[in-house]
Amino acid sequence: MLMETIAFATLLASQKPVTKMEGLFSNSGINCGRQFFETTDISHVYTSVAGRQGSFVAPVLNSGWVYDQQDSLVSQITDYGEVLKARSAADGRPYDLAQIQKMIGAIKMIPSGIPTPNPMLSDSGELGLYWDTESAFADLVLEASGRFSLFIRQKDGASKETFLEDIDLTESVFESLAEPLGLLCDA
Amino acid sequence: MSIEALFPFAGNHSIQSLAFVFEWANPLTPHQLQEAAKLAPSLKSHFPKVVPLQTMTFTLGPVPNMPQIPNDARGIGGIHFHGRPTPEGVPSQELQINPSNCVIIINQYTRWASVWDSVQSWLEVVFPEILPAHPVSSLGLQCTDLFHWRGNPELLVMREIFQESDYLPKHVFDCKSLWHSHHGFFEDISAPVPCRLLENVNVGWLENNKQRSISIQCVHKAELSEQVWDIAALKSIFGQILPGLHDRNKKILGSLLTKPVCEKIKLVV
Amino acid sequence: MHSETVAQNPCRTFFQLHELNQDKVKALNEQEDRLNWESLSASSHSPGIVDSGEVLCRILFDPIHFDPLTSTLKPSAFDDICNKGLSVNRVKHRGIAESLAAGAAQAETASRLRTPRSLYGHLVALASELRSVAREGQRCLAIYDTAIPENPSHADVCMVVPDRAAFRSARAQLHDKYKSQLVPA
Repeated sequence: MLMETIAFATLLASQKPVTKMEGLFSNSGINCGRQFFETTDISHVYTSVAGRQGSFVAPVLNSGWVYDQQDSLVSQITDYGEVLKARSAADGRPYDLAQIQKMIGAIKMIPSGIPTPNPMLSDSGELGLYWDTESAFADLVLEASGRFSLFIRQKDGASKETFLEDIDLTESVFESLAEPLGLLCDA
Repeated sequence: MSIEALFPFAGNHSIQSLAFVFEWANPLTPHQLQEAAKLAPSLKSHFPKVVPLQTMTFTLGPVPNMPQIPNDARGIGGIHFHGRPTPEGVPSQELQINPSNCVIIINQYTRWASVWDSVQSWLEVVFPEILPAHPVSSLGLQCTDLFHWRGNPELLVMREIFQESDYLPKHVFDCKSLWHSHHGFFEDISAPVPCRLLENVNVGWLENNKQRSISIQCVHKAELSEQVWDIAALKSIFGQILPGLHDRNKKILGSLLTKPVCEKIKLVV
Repeated sequence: MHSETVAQNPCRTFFQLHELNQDKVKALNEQEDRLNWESLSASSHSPGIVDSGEVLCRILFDPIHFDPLTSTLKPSAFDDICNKGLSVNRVKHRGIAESLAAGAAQAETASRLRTPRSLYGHLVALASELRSVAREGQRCLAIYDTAIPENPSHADVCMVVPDRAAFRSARAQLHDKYKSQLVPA
């Protein structure tokens, strides 16, 4: 029988020999430790959802429980590159794969304070990012020209819209878009 | 301003995860955990995947006069219900029914109001089945805030991220490399519900796959002076205590972070 | 029977000419009378023009237009309004179950020829709701009864404002209204 991953509940720091240990594991092999609140002893060790084995008295290195939404977004855009390659092979139509890197570059320019967008890919091969919050909708599209266009629509009664096109996206240009994009941040 | 390179986890807010914890006064039996699995259809719309956990108990080394425990004794260790996966590969939300507690984890946090509504609706499904035999003895909130530093680590000025605070040793401002701080304490609370509050404030400047991040994880656990046996009482106590724990969390964050960082995540205390 | 002249039915002439044009909406927007053409039948196979009270059904094949985390459609699901026309079926002429069955067969054929496709789900909309999408007081969408021999219920929803800002506005409005309306297959 395949041995599933075992995550140990608490690590005992004392010198006493361990006589019985309980582990928790799932059938899918996901490593998961005992969750939260093991004890009322303040100095005792807790483990997190991902079964992090650290202690709270040492700096954390490669903890495995730190996630990065930007990385995930870049990964999804990269996956779209594979979709475009597959479509190209099936259709016999060339798709512009250089736009993948251009869009990844744009993602890395999104200023701090703007919510993480979602990716999209049209049937015509056009890449885009979109935001859909309670206060506004926005989409940023990489056009065939290699430049970007940005559309924002507020969700208040007036439904005010902003459309900017032919944008040569640089960090400073993105900074200047922080104000209109700030409408996305819920009050 | 050097905090331009400081990116809150979700862009406009820093909450990577939020967990609501309820501890049972006495542990659930394996049979009760198996029965809990029958809640799956009622939870399916938010938690389409059910992950049963198994325990394995074994003995290490000979111990004199110790009763023999059968090796490879297996049993059910918990029932976890998972929401749809986020792009990061974790469930968007999780509802865990463990022998010692029930934990609801939100990994796709948007705003407190919508999370609050959802959690209360899930309590209505889970607790009527379990409470009559297993009262709740404590409630808690665990908040993990994360900020990624996307610039040169040498250029981060800790005083631009943190202010001097009761919860942070001064050494962090001079520390040249990674650091971590853990502070925990009890506080006796008389209102709105009498309880002993255990709070933990864990702050770190950490590195993960060469990416530097600031992490603030706070645990707020209220040990009730009286156990809660029914759903109506639990909802009432939950409604009185949890918003207070959320406010305490915001206060602690507000006392740790500088004003510009608070403004970046729209933290108003 | 005399065949119709362009003067008698320019709408039908246009859609016959552009039957295979994957960018027909661009050509449509060069036609001054394109909005009036809604009162003309676009196809000899059609049971008649699309009435505003009609329910329309859109079949979805590509999961790339769906966000599984939020269970919502992405804006790109509505892109066809600005190029080939967003294909829909008129429910009063082909029921939803029949549309889904035909969609499943179509997906299987397409899978053999192209990248794998499968029937993902459908959503329904009232013709009047689609026709009410507007920007700065100007209507954005028209619906033409572009029936084909194998599907007399077929219709196309097309942008009738040749403006990128108007397209993004119309797409955003459609997304807002229908993003959570997908009925999974």
